[in-house]
Amino acid sequence: MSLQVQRLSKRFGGLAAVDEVSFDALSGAVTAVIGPNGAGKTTVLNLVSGVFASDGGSVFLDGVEISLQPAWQRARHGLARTFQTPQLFEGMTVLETVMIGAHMQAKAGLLSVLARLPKVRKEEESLRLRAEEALDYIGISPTQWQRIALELPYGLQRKVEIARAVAMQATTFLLDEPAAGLNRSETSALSDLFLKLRADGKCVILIEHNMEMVMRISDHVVVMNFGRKIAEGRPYEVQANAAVVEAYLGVEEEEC
Amino acid sequence: MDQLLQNAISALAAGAIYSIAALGFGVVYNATKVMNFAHGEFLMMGALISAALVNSAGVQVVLAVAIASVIVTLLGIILDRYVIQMAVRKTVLTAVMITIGAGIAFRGLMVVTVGRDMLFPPAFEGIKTVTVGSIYLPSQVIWILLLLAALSVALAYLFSSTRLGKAMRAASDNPRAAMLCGIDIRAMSLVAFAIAASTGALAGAFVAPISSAFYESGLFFGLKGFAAAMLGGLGNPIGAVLGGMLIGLIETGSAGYVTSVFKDAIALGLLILVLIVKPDGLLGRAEAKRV
Amino acid sequence: MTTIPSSEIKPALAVVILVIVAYFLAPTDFHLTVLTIVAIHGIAAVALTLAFGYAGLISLGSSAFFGLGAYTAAFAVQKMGLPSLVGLLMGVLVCGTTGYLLARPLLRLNSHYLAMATLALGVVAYIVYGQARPFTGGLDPGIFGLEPLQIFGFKLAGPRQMYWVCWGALLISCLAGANLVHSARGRAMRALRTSEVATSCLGVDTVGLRVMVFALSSSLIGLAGGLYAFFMRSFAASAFDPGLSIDILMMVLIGSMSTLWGAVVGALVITVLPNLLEGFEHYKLLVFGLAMVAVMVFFPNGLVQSIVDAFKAAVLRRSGSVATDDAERRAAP
Repeated sequence: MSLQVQRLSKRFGGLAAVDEVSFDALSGAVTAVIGPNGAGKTTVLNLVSGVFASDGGSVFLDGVEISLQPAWQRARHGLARTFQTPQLFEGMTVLETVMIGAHMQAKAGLLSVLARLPKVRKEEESLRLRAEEALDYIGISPTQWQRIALELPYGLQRKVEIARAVAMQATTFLLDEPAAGLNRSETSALSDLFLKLRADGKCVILIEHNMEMVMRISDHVVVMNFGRKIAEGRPYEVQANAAVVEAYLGVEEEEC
Repeated sequence: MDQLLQNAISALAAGAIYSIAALGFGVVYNATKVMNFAHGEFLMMGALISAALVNSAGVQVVLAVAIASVIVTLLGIILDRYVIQMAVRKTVLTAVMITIGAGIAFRGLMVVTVGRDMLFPPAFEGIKTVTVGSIYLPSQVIWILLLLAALSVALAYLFSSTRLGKAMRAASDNPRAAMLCGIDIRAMSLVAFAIAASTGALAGAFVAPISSAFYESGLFFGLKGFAAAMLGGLGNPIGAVLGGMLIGLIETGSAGYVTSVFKDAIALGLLILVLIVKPDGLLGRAEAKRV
Repeated sequence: MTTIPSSEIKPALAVVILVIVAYFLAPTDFHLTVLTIVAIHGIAAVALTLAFGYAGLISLGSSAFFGLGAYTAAFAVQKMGLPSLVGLLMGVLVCGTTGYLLARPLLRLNSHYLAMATLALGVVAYIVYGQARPFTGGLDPGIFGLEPLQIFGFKLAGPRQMYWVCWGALLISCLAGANLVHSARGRAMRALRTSEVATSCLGVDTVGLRVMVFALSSSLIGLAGGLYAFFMRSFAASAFDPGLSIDILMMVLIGSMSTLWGAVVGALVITVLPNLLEGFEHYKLLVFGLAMVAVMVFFPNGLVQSIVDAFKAAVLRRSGSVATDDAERRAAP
């Protein structure tokens, strides 16, 4: 199981936000995508998940080409994603939000639903069960399950979003700056969570600015700048790479 | 051939009215991003009030039209300042329903004040019917075309060369930046509604001698104005005139082939088609698409 | 768990009791007639609450489907000789199919354009109904002398019988709608309103879902139209003027954007109101327009909803319990 991105491109007007980016992300591994602000990392995520249509290149999920599929079909193939700001739903409880993650499991036809036949009720029960399992896996306590998701503290909101992705029983996770706005202990808990997903054989792809986290848990790092991939490799290799240092810190000016 | 040209002249008159309606509708949309579903009622009220003043109160035509325009403009300002801007929540549906409700209220106001009768005011004096060969240009049609010309020039001048016009354009293009430059957004919105209401009222008053004044005619004035605006490109003034003329032509052109009732349906069908196939209209929207 | 979600039992029972009581309290057949029309309008209002309140689709053209359902049912019985129930079903299916076909192009439009397009569609339908004499009988005489509804050999004519049929149909519609809202699809619809992107990244075919809701909504409105046909048994295109679409939307707005039962209240208010203004014929339009504006300016969540919310907030301030709040929220659809 894995994700392959080949020569992915996206232009907005005259600007190439993403320019022929290629990389592979393996399952059972954490791949981090890093780079300065505006490097195009979120755009790559949007292209891979199908939110934007690409202007070139292809995406393969577990060997199947998904480049032309709309977002919802890619999700059905096992691709889950979270957003820079948690996209939770108005008026819905934590449990309901995570239950939507399990939506793909609901197969009853419309007429059965309208009549609320026993098989529909059974399905609801199993959706609920799946959501509860996901919430347990993430470590969100049952006391929180009936609270309105949008009223929770930020760190918890992020966890709910990830629980929702887990409920999808996805094989591949695209996470957009999951540690943003979290304190040290929350970040540490999140890292442990990602390592758990990794141990369970999932393909975890992480856009992150938190270098400590990236260095600690990534197996593979892809560095982007100005829409292009400028380096990739194991964390310590990338750290030493001159181009990467330049991208983040600039080049030393000659003294006048 | 002569019949064709004669038909084209009726088309001109109808088209001019739709153009003016589209212009006013576009001005409000540009300024406020609100689609005023009550716009047609401005035309209806202009027609009805001026017709009532002329027929029942014997008021002189010029004065009647002026009074009607002032009243309708005031109602337009009230709609913006005391209704739309007061809304607690401003989603699209809310704005749409508010303007629809306002339209119904305007209609109801007319019923209470002027009544449900269809009024037939006389044609304006001052211009004689022009005859070229066997084709005649009725005086009222000339008046309508003059109105369109005058309003087009006035609006073009307003938006290109006056401070107010430039302020309005700034406000519609980038409200935040405009506010930072000291432009009062709410005042711009009021001016836009005033323009829409006054131009609409004038158009209605000018066309009343031809098409009669009736409290129910707002819906069709409005829908055809929308059709003209969407066809030419929403918010695009040249598009508004082009769209209006096209709708007028298509309507009159089809009058020979379908019954007069269906000709209304044609303009509407065109509106639906434009919305679905090319919502930017023929000449494109006035605003540039931001990346 | 039962066939009805637990939170819907109380309102359903309340409606059943009120309907039974009203029947026996109603002084004349005229009152029953009005109440039967309330039920028929109520079905259309429930349909629109589903489409609009849950899936966010503004439709100003419900009158088109209402008429289509009525004319299809009449055509099936009078011109095709089919039994009345089959005619009713045909009305539902024709409307559902038309809704399905129209949905994809329409749903690509943003809200403003959708409002305009559906308004125009409603007017076009009205014009067509008035002119298509072979199918609709035109403006005059229209459809007349339609045979009454027959169920299991019983002819159901007149308000005393159609009252039960229409309110029964309304109850079933509300329950079916509630079942949809409380299902996985219902959750997806609610999520869709907040964030379409996030919802589609969760594997929900958001466009397909909205198409389904629109088709379902259209079929329900067709049902209302068919019942109208069998109740009135004579009608013309004037019954399906564009004002009807606005009336139905107002019923949703008076009621609630988030509960189906609110639509029933809305139907009651809007249908009964003009009758109360009898004698003030002159002022009806003005009052209606002003009321509409007032509701939208001050109570955009729906008038009944605002009243219910205010009531709940007042109760909570007294009890001061978070648990109550959560339980309330869990109970609300």
